[in-house]
Amino acid sequence: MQYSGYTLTSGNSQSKLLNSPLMERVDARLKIVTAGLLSLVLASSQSLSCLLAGLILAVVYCILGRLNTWWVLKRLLSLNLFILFLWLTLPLAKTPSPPVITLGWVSLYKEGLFLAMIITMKSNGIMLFLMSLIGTLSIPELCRGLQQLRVPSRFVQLLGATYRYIAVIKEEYQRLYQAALLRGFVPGTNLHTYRTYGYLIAMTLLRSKIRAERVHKAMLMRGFTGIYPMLSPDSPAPPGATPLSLLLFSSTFLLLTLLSFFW
Amino acid sequence: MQNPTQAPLLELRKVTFSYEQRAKPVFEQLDFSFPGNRMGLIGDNGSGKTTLLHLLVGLLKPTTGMVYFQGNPIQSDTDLVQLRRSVGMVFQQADDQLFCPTVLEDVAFGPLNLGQTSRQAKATALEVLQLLRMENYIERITHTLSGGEKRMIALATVLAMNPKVLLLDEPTNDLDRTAKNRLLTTLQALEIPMIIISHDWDLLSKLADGYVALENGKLTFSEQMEIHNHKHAHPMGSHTHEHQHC
Ligand SMILES: Nc1ncnc2c1ncn2[C@@H]1O[C@H](COP(=O)(O)OP(=O)(O)OP(=O)(O)O)[C@@H](O)[C@H]1O
Ligand SMILES: [Mg+2]
Repeated sequence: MQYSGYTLTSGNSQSKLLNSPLMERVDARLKIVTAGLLSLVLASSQSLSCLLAGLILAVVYCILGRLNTWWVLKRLLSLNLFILFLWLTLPLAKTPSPPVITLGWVSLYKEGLFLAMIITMKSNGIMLFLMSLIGTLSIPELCRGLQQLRVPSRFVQLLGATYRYIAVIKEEYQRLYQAALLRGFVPGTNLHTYRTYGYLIAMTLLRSKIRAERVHKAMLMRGFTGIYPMLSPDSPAPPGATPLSLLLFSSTFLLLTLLSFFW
Repeated sequence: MQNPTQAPLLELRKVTFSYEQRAKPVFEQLDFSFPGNRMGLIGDNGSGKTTLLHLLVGLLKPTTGMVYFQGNPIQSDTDLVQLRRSVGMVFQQADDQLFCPTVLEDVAFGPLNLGQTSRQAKATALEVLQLLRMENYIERITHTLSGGEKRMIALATVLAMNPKVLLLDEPTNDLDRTAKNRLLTTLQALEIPMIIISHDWDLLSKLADGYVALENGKLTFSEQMEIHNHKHAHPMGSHTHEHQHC
């Protein structure tokens, strides 16, 4: 059975990204904060130059992070499929200015087109930054970083538990589904099929809840009192890498902020 | 039971418990005391063995009655935390006992909760894994372990907390003969009182020195294993073997 889909990067993120001193082996907290700030700048900026620079820099970050090109493109594709709907709807919105183009009974307006473009640039830029900064962290590293940044422990636990159990839940669903198949279930478009799917999903949810209770019991038995303790990493970021990354991250942030205010 | 002047390690007094309000109680006015030996707990499926263990450590709350640890009633939350830190439990579903991404983190979880530093917790984890000869698993992702491996790691996570009592809920389920023997030798070498739920007479006869049988919500103690009929497969053919208890 495949367990893909529970780490942000496909496969083992640690081994894949070796020899990339600027992105890898950077303190998780620094990456998280940078990702947050850069996303904030891009999300709030209306300046085309800032968005364009952000997009280019985000691509550079992905290259520096040695991300797998296919993996990146696949994620971008699913994001842009969603954005496609904006392109199909936003330009149709009527505005006081005359339409840019009229094709038969459809008119496209400048404001809508501009808005769709801005949203596309923003979301792709943010996505690329997130992939290069957060996507190169393993989930335990991310959890540890968030916890060190004083993010509420409940949220961190939720993330950690999702990481640990999402594959288990998927496996459980598949086991139930296979059991149904083995007993001659053939999916079709009828009530029996829908009811069976309903049972399968309900059963998976119920089992997850019962499992969560058992896990919680096991945690209590091991002295858990609400704070999730974590091991500190064996090898902290090597000296030299962090100042360089700090320089890169802060200059990116400054550049984008300046662009967004002055151009 | 062994020593009337000394308080039993774990004790239930007049405990009534039912899972749902209207349901027939699993236990009614049950008295149980665990003196601190190696006690086998036997009983049919659904007789309430798991329920009994969970009551002993406050994972289930008795409807009426009290739980005692070393003679002290468990009343406040701090009592409970203290009790649970002293008792190590290997659950029937070992799968759910491993909730951290990697084996190392999982084994270190308990020691960290007990206040050890990262470095100490790692050392403890390694030590326990070596004791169980599972040190090669330290980097493994927990959910990719096999059932038997999970059970051994689950035992490691518990032993890492240096418990005063061990509660083992069917510990040899899904273990092969080698793993079972290794577990048996490990447990025999430990000087920790334990309650072992098992349907495995072979394990019990080698490990336990007293038995409790659970039937219809009632407990029957016996210091020695009773004579019983049993059948078991002999994988090595017709080699001779002895039964200590007959
Ligand atoms: N969460 C629950 N809700 C309701 N009833 C339960 C629950 N858990 C157990 N029971 C019932 O309580 C009784 C005792 O269950 P318990 O799990 O303690 O049995 P057991 O002796 O451990 O059995 P096994 O040998 O199969 O593990 C059973 O009749 C069971 O159906
Ligand atoms: Mg049970």
